[in-house]
Amino acid sequence: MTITVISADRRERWLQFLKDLWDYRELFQTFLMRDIKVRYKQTVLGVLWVILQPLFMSGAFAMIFGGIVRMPTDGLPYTLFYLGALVPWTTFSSALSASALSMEANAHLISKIYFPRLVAPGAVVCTSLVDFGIGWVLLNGFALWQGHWHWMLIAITPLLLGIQILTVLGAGLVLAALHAQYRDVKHLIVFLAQLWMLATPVIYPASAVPVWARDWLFLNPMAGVVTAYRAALQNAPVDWLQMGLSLAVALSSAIFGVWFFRRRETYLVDIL
Amino acid sequence: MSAPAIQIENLGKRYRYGGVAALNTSLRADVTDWVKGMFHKNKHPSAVVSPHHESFHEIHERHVAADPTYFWALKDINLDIQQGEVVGIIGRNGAGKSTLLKILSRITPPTTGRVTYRGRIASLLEVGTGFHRELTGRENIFLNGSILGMTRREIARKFDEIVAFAEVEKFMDTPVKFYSSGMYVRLAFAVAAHLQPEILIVDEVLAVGDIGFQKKCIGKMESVAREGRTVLLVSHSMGTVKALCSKAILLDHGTVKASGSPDEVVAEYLKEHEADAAERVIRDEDHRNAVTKMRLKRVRLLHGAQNRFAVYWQQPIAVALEVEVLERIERVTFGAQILTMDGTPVFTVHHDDDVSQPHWTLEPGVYRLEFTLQNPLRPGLYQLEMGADQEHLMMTGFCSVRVATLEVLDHTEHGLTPVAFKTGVINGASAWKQPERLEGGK
Repeated sequence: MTITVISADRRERWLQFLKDLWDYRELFQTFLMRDIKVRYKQTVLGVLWVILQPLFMSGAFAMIFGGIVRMPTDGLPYTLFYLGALVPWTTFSSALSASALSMEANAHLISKIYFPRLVAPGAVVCTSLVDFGIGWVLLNGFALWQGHWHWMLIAITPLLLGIQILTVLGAGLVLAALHAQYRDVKHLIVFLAQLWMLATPVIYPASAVPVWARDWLFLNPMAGVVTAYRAALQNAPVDWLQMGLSLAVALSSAIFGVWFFRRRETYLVDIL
Repeated sequence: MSAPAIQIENLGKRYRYGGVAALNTSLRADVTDWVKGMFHKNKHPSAVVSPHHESFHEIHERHVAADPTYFWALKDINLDIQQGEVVGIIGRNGAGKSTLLKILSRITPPTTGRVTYRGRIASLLEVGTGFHRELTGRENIFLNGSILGMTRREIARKFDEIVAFAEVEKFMDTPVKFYSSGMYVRLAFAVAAHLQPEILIVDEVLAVGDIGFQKKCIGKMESVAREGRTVLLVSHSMGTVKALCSKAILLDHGTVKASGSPDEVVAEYLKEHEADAAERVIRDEDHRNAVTKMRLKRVRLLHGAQNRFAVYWQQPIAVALEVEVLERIERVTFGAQILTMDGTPVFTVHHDDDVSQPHWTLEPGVYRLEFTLQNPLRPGLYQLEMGADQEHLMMTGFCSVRVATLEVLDHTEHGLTPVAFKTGVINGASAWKQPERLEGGK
C-alpha cells in the first residue's frame, strides 16, 4: 500500500512531489485528452483554424512587410519567410497565455481535489503540440511547393521544439503562479506576448539586427528557434553555438519555472 | 497493532485574518510593500539585532508570530486513526474541521507538522467535480474517475457497472450539456460511488447536492465502512455521528478538545453549546447545496429574548429572512424544520400547508420573508433549518440551510417556569377528567 506524507517540511514535500508526478501521470494524460478534445470538438472548423491562422497571418505580413516595407528576407519568398516564423511563434504565444491562465481555468478543481498543480499548465503546454504539428505539416508542404524544402527542416525540428517547450514551460509556469495571486497578470500577458514577438526576429530577419545587439538577441531562445527554422528553409548552415545558447537558456528557464511554481503552488489554494 | 491508517503529528495551519481579502491580491500593493521593505532595511541596517545570524525563515517567523492578523486555524493536532475506524469530527463553525479535511485531502498544505497515511484518500465533495460540458458521458466518466483518483484500468473495468448504475446507457456518446439535471447528477454520483479508496473523507457540510444525494453519500459511507476501510466524517448532525461513527473527535479553536466514544464526545459538545445571536448573516458555506437559484442571506429572530436567538417558554418563534433569488423560480415552496441538537427532527412545516395560500413565483431580486412558528418546545437548545423546493420535488430541492441554534428559555417573559421534572422535547397538551368512582372499596 502506498504511503503518502503531507508535511510542512520543504524537503519532505519535494520528495513527495516527485513521487506524485509519477503517480498522477494518468491524470496528466486525462487532462491532455480533455484539452485536446474540447479544442477540436467541432473538428472540421477546429483544425481548419489552426491551418488558416498562420497562413493568413503570413499572407498579411508578406503583403505589408514584403509589398510595402520591402523587408530583407535572406532570399526566402515572403510568405514562406513569415510562415517559417509564425508556425513556431503562434503556438508558442498561445501556449504561453494558455498555461498562464491554466490555474484560473482549473480553479474549481484546485480548490477541491489534490493533484500536482504542475499537471495543469504542463498539460496545456503539451496540448499546443497538436497545433504545432498541424502547422508544421503545413510548413513542410508549403516549403515543398515553393521548392525550398530541405531534410534539415525535419532533422532540426525535435531540437527546436524542445527549446520552444522548455521556454514556454519556464515562462508559463512563472506567469501561472503569479496570475493566481495577481489578476493584473492577465493584462500583462497580452502585452508581454507582443513585446516578446518584437524581441524575436519574426517580422524581420536576424541578419538585419546590428552585430552588437545580436549577442543579446539570442539570449531569447525563441530568436534561436525562429532563425534556425529559416536557416533550414534556406539550406543555410545551422549555427550550433547559437543553438547551444538557446538550449541552455531554455533549460534554465524551465528549471527556474518549476522551482518558482513549486514555491508558490502549495499556497495557491489559499489565494485562488 | 499494525501501523495506523492516518497518523497526524503536531499538525498546525496558520491563516491570515480575512483570508483572501487581507492578502495583497494586486501587484501594486505587493510591489509597494517590497519597495518599502527595501528602504527600511537600508535606513535601519542595525534594526535586526540577534545573537546569531537569523535565517530568512526565522525572520519571517518572528514577524508573523508578532502579527495579530495571523491566526492558527489548527494547532498541535496529534491523532492516530486506525484502519477501519469511522471517525466523526465535530465542532462549531470555525473550529478547524474543514481545515483539517482540506489538509488531509491535500488541498492546502500544513504550516507545521506532518501527516502520514497509507493507501488512497478520496473525498466526496461535490457531484460532478471536473465534469466538462462539451464532453460526452463516456469521456466524462474517465475524466471524472481519474480526477477522483481511479486508474484508467479501474474505470474501464467498472465502466459498465457505472453506466448501469446511472441509467444513462443510451446517452453515453452525448455531450453532458444535453443531459437533464437528474441524469447529470446520477452519472456524477455513479462515478463517485464506484471509487474504492482505502480512506474516504466526507464533509457533510460541503457535500452539496439535493437531499437524495446526501442520503446516497451516507449510504456509500456505510458500505465503505463495512468493507473495513477508514472513513472520516465532518458533520453537524450529532445523530449521524452517534449512529455511524466508532470514534468521535471534538475540535475547538483549532485544537482537539475531546476524542473517544461518540456518545461521550457528543455529550461534551452539547454541554458547551449555546444559542446564536438574534441576527445572523448566512454564508454560502452554511448552505448544504450549491447556491444556484436562491440563497439565504440573513436571518433575524423577531422579539428575541436577551438579544440572542432565544425565545421565552411558549413564545411563538417569529423569524425574518432576507432571501436572494438568483433566477426565476416558479411555484416555490418554503419550509422550516426544528431539530434537536442531536439531529432528530421535531417537526416540519411548509408555507403551503395551508392550501388556501396561492402559489408563489419569484423573480430575481432580494426578498424579505417572514413566518411564525408555534412553539410547543420544552426548554433547551434546538436547530432551526430552512429549505426551499419547487413543488416538493425532492430531487430539485435547491436550498437547504442550517439557519441557527435556537434556545427555548426555561421561563416566560413574566418569570413563570414550566414544571421542571417533565421530560421530552415538546410540551404535551391534554385534557383529563377527574376520577369517577365506579365501585366502593372493601
